Amino acid sequence: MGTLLEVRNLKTYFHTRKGIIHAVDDVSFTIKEGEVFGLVGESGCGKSMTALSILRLVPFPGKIVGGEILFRGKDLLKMDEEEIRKIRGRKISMIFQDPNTSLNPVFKVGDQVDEIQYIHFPQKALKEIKENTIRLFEKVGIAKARIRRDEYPHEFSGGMKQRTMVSMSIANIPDLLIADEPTTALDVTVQARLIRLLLKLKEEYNLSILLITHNLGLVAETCDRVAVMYSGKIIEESDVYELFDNPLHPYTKGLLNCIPRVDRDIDYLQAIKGYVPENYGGWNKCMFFDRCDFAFDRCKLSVPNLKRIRKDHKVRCFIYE
Amino acid sequence: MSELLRVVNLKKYFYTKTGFFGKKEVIKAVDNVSFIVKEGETLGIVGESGSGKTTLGKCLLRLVEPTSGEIYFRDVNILKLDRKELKKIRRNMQIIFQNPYSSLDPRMKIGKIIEEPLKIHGVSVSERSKRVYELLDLVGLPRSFTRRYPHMLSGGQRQRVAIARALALNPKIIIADEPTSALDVSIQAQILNLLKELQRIYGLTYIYISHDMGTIRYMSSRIAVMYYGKIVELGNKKEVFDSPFHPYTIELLQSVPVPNPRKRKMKNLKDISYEKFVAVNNDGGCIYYLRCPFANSRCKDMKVELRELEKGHFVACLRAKGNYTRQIKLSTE
Repeated sequence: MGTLLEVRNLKTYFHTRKGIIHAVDDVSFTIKEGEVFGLVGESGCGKSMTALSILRLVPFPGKIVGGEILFRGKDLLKMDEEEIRKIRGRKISMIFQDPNTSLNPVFKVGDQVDEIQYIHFPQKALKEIKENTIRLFEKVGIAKARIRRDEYPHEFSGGMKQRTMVSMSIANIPDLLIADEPTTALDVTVQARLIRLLLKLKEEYNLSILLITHNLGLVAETCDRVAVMYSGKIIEESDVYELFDNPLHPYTKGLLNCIPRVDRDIDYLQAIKGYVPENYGGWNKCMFFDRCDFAFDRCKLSVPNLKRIRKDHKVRCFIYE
Repeated sequence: MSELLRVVNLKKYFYTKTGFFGKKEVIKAVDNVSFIVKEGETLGIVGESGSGKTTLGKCLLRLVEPTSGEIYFRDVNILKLDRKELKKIRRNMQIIFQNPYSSLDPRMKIGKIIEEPLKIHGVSVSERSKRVYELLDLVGLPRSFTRRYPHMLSGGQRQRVAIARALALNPKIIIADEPTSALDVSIQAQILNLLKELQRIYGLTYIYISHDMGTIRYMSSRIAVMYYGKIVELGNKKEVFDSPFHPYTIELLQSVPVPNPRKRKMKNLKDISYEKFVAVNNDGGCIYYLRCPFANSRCKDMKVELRELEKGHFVACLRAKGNYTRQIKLSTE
């Protein structure tokens, strides 16, 4: 499999009155063609900002201050506005967390799916585009597509809206689909259907997917490779089987231990103590230090490196250095 | 264990009208629900959005006035009480809400928030401040937090404040409505453990409402599964999770992703059109009929009641017969 996307030393900072937040703090990873890559972490760890940085959609006061994002060898960060617009929604598309806010309430859903095709292929006949939208609706499981394409977002349920977003994201047959918590707002049974749909489309179009989530169950279900983020940095990266069989970082272990399971009884969950820190000014020690049960002196004096332990398994922790 | 709460045929209907000439619609948020809660246990109520689980929780405290039915708290029918009597009995029943960002008054200091129930129920000033400190210790917050405002706290800390407030009057029963759904997983585990610990110390009884099958399994001793306002399955945790009868419970369990990549199951889910998936049967029969893979013609219009299939394990399904649905489940996997 060839490399599709390579993120190198990406840094996205937020300049606030209280200081500079290192939201994405020197993050590097690669996504291969046809691969599902998971980016996992709790709120505020920088996973969404990493995704938005790829499309250069970081909101104010955030700014990409360094690094490279190579998409098929071309640096997205060096492109001008014109060029990046040709990538967005065409080569790389995105599904957001809340389907209720990602569709425009005053336009018909079908027209919104037409629009993204028209923008990238203005030479195409409108009739052809409209037919294609109906085919897309049928593909994502919206029944009576011919009628439903003329409805407004408020007439759709949450699951249907998210399906509309999916149809929009695959309309131009992109190479990479970024799904930022695509099922967090949905019920479990609806979530299961949507994930199944995404996996099916992935096979059909040979998509690569960057899945951003806090749900380790979803990661296990869908991903080929996973990176765990904490406070702006990747702290562990591995093949999905390896990560769940043999997690190395204390934070990853902690996360896996504190999920209440449906498939077995647990008497006592081992919670991670303390709270998620805010990353002002970047790491000057291991940021997991005060929550870690294995921490020793070195952890509060310097920053551990992301070190390769095994083939396809890297971890950022002094225990392994 | 003695019985603490008994709910009999509880109904809450909402009436809506679409437009001026629009036809009237009845939404049966809670439809003929009956169950008992024993002292010291945790009854988990699980269901998806719109299943009526939150409305049910609010009805139990009369925060929403039920349409009909009976709710007995130790042989007193709560629905027959007047304001004064209700206030007395509410000392024993408290609620923790889903979103700690909206359930705490942003203009009150934490100390005042925790103190308020004590004030309302006439506890003396000196008692009050002593109790506030006690409660903060109990939920693991520093005493200095009394002088802070909610916006200065993180989500997990706020939920601890909400728990302290609920505990202030030494209630017998606490209704926890999705107390961790707004929190991160690492913080969720802390709150769940805190709730369990408090239950052990004070012998509290919980009604734990959630959409998350994992937390329900962790917290509950018995479980009620709700679907469109009705309880479709009720039984001990072990039975509901390990040998469910109702096809909806089975679907719910199969939909939850398990953190183990060797147990992937979503790729194998059967195809069902989305329209069928969200359809509700209004022909008087089983509400799950249109979505159910095991349905037959009887299910369409024959009335379905909750019945005891095995000791303590109730199910509202015509097709379930002892091991029957379990066998079907295995054959479709």
